[in-house]
Amino acid sequence: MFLLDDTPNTLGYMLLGYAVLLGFPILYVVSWVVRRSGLKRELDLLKTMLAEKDAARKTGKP
Amino acid sequence: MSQTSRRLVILNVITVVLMAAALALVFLYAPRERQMGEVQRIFYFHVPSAWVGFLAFFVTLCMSIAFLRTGDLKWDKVSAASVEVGLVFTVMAIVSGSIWARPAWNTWWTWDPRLTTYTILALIYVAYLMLRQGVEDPGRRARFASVYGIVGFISVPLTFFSIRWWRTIHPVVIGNATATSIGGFDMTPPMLQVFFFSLFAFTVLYFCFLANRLQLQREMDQVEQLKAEAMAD
Repeated sequence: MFLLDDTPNTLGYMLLGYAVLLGFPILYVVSWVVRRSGLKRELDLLKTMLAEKDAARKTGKP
Repeated sequence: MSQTSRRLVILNVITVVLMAAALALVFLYAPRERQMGEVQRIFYFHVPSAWVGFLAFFVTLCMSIAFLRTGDLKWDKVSAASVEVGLVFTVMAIVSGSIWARPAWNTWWTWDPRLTTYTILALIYVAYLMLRQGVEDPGRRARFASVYGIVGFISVPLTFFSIRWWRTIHPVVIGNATATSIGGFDMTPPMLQVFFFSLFAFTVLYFCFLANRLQLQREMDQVEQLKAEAMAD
């Protein structure tokens, strides 16, 4: 009787807790990746636009 | 690769190694607590999350003061980045605490002084980010946000001491718990070692996140600058 393990089985809660504790930072990092890829697209577009404007100015075309 | 990028990569690698080591210690080295069972292991990441939240908001306080003294927008950018990172850890602490509370207190949520003050703290810093979104002019935005960042910090010591000042069921990690606290436990030396290692790993994780967030901010500024150039032409 005294040898019975009376510790409650709370494994499910622990797994859920660590899913949150590891999932949140991972999601945050993923949000940076998404934001960064959006910025890169925007940056490339702006650079192309500015280069085209420069080229047009040099050739005198509007 | 620039020197800044190289440093950032090194910091990222160190952080991943530290977090992996912390996880290994939590699951392979720390003993199982007898009263609560496996769910007690949440404690090793829950408390450091809350600590990092407080640290992030303290950094915001310091950066806000630095901005108001110097007027340099770089301090304001650190301040905003720190709030964003701090909120991630604060939400992690709230949700993981709620999951721990279900088997320990037999409820997902209760309006205990710690839980209430901590929720108010989170909402105060959500409002900080909303305030920033609402002001267009960068100088004005930085001034408003800095004053708010200083005043809002009052919620941090209030939250920290809530479990020492008022009757609460939330356990106290450092110091003596109140008679009403439920779910507290005496930490054995291996538990203490794992706890302090996790605390250290999370502190490094905070600085890693902050550095990466600031790098993203620099890229956002670069895009904004190019947009202004394109508009000016």
